[in-house]
Amino acid sequence: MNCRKIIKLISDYIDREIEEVKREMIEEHIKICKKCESILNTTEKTIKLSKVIYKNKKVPKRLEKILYYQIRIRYKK
Amino acid sequence: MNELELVEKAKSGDNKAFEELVKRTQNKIYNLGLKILGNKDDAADLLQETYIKAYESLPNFEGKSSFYTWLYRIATNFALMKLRKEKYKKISINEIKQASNGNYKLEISDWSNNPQIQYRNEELKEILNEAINSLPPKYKTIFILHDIEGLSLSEISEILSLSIPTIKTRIHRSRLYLREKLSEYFKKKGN
Ligand SMILES: [Zn+2]
Repeated sequence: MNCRKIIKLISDYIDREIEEVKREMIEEHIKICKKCESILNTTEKTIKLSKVIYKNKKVPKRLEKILYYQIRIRYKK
Repeated sequence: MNELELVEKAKSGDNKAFEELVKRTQNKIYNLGLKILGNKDDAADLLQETYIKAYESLPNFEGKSSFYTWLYRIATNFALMKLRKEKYKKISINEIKQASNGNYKLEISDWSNNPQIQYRNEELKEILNEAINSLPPKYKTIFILHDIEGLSLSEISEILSLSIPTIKTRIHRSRLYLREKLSEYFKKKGN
């Protein structure tokens, strides 16, 4: 497989959405191709970093009040 | 009480049951809004619109998908509508396709072990955040649902009514585009 094909499969490889044969081909390829190895490593890192840039927050109390008010005024009597 | 029981009760007009469902899911939906829309005001709108719509369409909820997936569907539709109306610096679909095209001159230095990568590196976070925000709406939404929120391909397929291959392509392109942006950053930093 050439680099272009490897790069196309990188996400499937990372997500383990890949056939065994192809997975092995990728692993063989990156042993000898620095370029694809770099792209794989940095893509994985990009995903990891994306996961940590957001901190989960709680709905602020004030907003929560508004939310429940908005819902309650719609209740059928 | 489990979700299914609460949904059944809420459907038959038990408002307390509906409020319990809101209580259990509100933080998830709010955070989804913050991530996709990028600011508190829009996330607050998304939160309210999602539950108002959910309350109003509850009689139509058939339970084919989970309540969560159904809520996500309402919320992401709202977010997509909002994003499409907005005028912010979005990259073109072409640009994102290029970044994932093997012919394109990809940045190939391996910065994955660069000591600059620290979760406290605010500059790096900013660059990545900006890059995520500049993704076209239909890419950004999928990237966030999959890579950040951790939803499965089939869940996303249900939420957005898209085929799994389409979703995979968009995730792949988004990742490579973001990777490219980070590579540019490390190149500037002198790796
Ligand atoms: Zn290669």
